[in-house]
Amino acid sequence: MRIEGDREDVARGLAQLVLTLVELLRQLMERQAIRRVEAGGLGDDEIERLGQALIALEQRMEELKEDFGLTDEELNFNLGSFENFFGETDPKQ
Amino acid sequence: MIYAYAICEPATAAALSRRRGLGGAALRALQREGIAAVYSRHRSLQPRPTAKLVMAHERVVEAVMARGAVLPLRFGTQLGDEDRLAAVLAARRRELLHALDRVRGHVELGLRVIREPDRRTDGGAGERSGRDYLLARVGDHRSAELAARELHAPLAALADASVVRDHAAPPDILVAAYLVDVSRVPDFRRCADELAARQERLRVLVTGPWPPYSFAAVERR
Amino acid sequence: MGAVQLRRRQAGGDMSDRGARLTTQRDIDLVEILDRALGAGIVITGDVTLSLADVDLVYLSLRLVVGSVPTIRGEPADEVHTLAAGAVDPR
Repeated sequence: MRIEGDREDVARGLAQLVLTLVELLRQLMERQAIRRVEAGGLGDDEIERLGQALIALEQRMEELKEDFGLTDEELNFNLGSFENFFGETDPKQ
Repeated sequence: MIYAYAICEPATAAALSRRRGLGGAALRALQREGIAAVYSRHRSLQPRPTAKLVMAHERVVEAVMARGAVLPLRFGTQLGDEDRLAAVLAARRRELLHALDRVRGHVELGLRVIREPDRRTDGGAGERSGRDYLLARVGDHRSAELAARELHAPLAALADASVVRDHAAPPDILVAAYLVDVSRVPDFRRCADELAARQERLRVLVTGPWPPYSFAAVERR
Repeated sequence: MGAVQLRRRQAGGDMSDRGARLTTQRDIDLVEILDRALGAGIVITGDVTLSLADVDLVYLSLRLVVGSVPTIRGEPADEVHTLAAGAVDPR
């Protein structure tokens, strides 16, 4: 039973790593798409297709997170998870 | 080969004799006409940017900073020998002294403005058009950027120089560096605090104090 | 809430000590230091060539360093420094 537990931990750990990477890439691609739209020069159909691709990515990400039972916090992709700081910050200011 | 860490004044460099740099090599100082460089000698060195080596580099730069004005060199600066380093100091002496004056008594503070991870409340899968979705993201991003920019201006006013990164990578909305006089650091932090308190969707992170990497460039921007 | 202000004493700490996979001050310090030491600072012309393609990609690499699970050791594989041991360009 202990061996199985370890195997699960490893699988979960790997899933965490992979999904963190995937989520980072998704965010980067979304940011790139936003920049391209802002810069102009994209046709309506291109915008539509880009948008659909991003929707699909986001949905797939949600599915993967559900499959592995991982939360956003666990993916730790957000430096803004400030509640994770354990007493490292100065409370005074 | 020699590996160089920072440029500073001769007195500052001289105070580092007991410290060590990359690979445990002894730190050395080289000076030419009032300007000095801190370096170490190596038979062979492959300064790959590992956390360990970069931290070793940073520790040296910070040791210099603790003792005087410092112009950090980028990680990975290797030269053939001391003569070449001396040639750089001699050739760029005036600009380097000017740059040292600029950073003297200052620290670099970093700013990251981060978007709260948003919980998408969109409806069913097939109902949105790609265009609507993407344009909504563009609108979101734009307003977040504008809000972040409003944080930058008052902070820049408390600094003697500032740089804003062209393209922040997610989840950052704004990334900036400020050259702040040491005596104004508390004001700066207080200001950041107040500005951040007014934000709901943005998180504000102030980091530092750092050696003035972002303001060491000899060329004027 | 107010700004989160991370105060540092000095660079240091054992980078191999990851512990829990949470964003700690040390992790943030590492990202900030890598950002500065690799992307800023004076470049002595002719002696350092950094083959980093894009700020986004650098940042991605940095985040991977910070976000990697404890069991995965090793170093950022993407960044390669090419060092030319040529003469210093005094101009």
